[in-house]
Amino acid sequence: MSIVGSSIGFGLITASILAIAAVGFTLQFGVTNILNLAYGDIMTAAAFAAYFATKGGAPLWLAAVAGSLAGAVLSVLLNRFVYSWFARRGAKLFAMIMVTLGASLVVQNGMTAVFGPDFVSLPTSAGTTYQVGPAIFTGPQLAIVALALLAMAGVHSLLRYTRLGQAMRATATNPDLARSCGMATNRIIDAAWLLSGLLCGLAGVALALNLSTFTTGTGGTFLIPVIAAAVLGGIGQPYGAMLGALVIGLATEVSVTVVSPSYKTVVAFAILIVVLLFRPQGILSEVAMAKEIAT
Amino acid sequence: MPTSSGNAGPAAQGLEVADVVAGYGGAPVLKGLSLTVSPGQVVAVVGPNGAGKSTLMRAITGTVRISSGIVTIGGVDITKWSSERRSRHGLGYVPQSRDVFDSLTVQENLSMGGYMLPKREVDDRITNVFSLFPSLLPLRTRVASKLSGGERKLLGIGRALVATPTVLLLDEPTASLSPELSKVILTEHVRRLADTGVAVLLVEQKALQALEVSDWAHVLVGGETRISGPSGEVLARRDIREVFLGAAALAIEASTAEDGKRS
Repeated sequence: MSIVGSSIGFGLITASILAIAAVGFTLQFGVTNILNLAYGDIMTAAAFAAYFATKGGAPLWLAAVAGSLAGAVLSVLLNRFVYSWFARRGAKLFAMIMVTLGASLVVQNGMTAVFGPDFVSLPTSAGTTYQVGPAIFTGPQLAIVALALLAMAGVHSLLRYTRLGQAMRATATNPDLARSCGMATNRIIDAAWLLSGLLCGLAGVALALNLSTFTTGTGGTFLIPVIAAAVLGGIGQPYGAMLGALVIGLATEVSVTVVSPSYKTVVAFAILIVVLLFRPQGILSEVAMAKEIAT
Repeated sequence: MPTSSGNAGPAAQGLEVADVVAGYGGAPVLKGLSLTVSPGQVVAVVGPNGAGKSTLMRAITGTVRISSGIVTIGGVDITKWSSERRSRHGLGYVPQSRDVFDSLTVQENLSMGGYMLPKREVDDRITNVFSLFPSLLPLRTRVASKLSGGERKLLGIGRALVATPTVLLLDEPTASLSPELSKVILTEHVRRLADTGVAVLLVEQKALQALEVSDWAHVLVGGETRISGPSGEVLARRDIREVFLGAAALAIEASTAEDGKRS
């Protein structure tokens, strides 16, 4: 009973990290049309940025800010100097996926070359734990859940109420029409890289905080459940990604009470496959998500 | 490089297309097309499939490269401008399909139409659109993908109107509508729009209806103007049907053998 309870607790934390990452990932794909397989490695890079910030004496919160900003800046640069270069030469969806796979390998191995293959860890404030129901959380874990809720509320408000957010949704559904409305879609796409990169960086720091140690391959491995969550919810749909993250986060952690933890990813994909059998477009289709935003 | 020092005089209001040659890299689709739309005028471009109607639209909106000739709006040469810049300069465009943002609500679609305007102005203009198309008002929170064909088209036109364009391009606005609805859109709405001073360029496959509501008509065949004149006269021409049918046959020939023959 209490094992299930605490695994639900862990599930919520995993779901929170997944949600931040998956919303960023799906937003990036929805607006820019690039399925960025280097996303996980940018998460890792953000975690390293936070790690070096703490080594330089920054408090944890400041290190998290630094990590998020690193994620944002690196994502924008990656698009500006790599992806858009290929896109301008006519690379389409699949060719572009190969480019992002290449970028992923370069970024990950580049980090291994520079930072080394060793596991490092962020200094989590020792000691204090908090009992919430049957589960016990550390301070940083509670902060991760709170940050995820905040990020989700922020993304929701941005997409729903601001001009920029509406323009991002407009660009995602119909870029030609967006241009004929006078939108500089290139700048809107830049903004989408910035925002999704910020979420990517935040997720990277949260992941590093939650795993006690991480290495240069950590983000790349985590990308698999991120993609599962995004696809489960309906790729390109921020609300779907939130829902997908919750389902996959909870299911993988709760499954640990029944099967070996090494099957976590298998469980995530079993759920994905079953859902896609019945709803190939993901839990929330485009129409459903638009309705959800509207009401 | 053509500049505005050409024939477009300072008095040229509305839209002017002069000797435009445009296409997709191969043989040009438009072979030196000229037309003028003055404020308050509806000019219809009709013609068979493959005549270059859509290419004409794309050349004006800036999504097809113009290899020679110029396009001006209000006397300003916009030939080399990006699509965004053209719309900022007063060019409104309602594409034939995908003319609304499917995942946005009616209200959001309209406010995207006024993306380049200050926020306060947008609200006023949206109110104007609602008074022009009252049937949209109760649907304001509905998502565009859930609208009927007619509602959708009104929203597409309304969205373009929020920007208060001086020139409005309508690409086959009745393509997916019932005959009754087509009539309402063309005779009531399009006509009324022009009466407010907008220069309307209407591209239509439904030639007769388009000729009935327009002031001036161009019959486009093989990327060139075959007949041009006041719509009443074009409509009254006894050979209009033959030109049209002959043109259609010619277009089919031309698409199989390069360099179609003259009729």
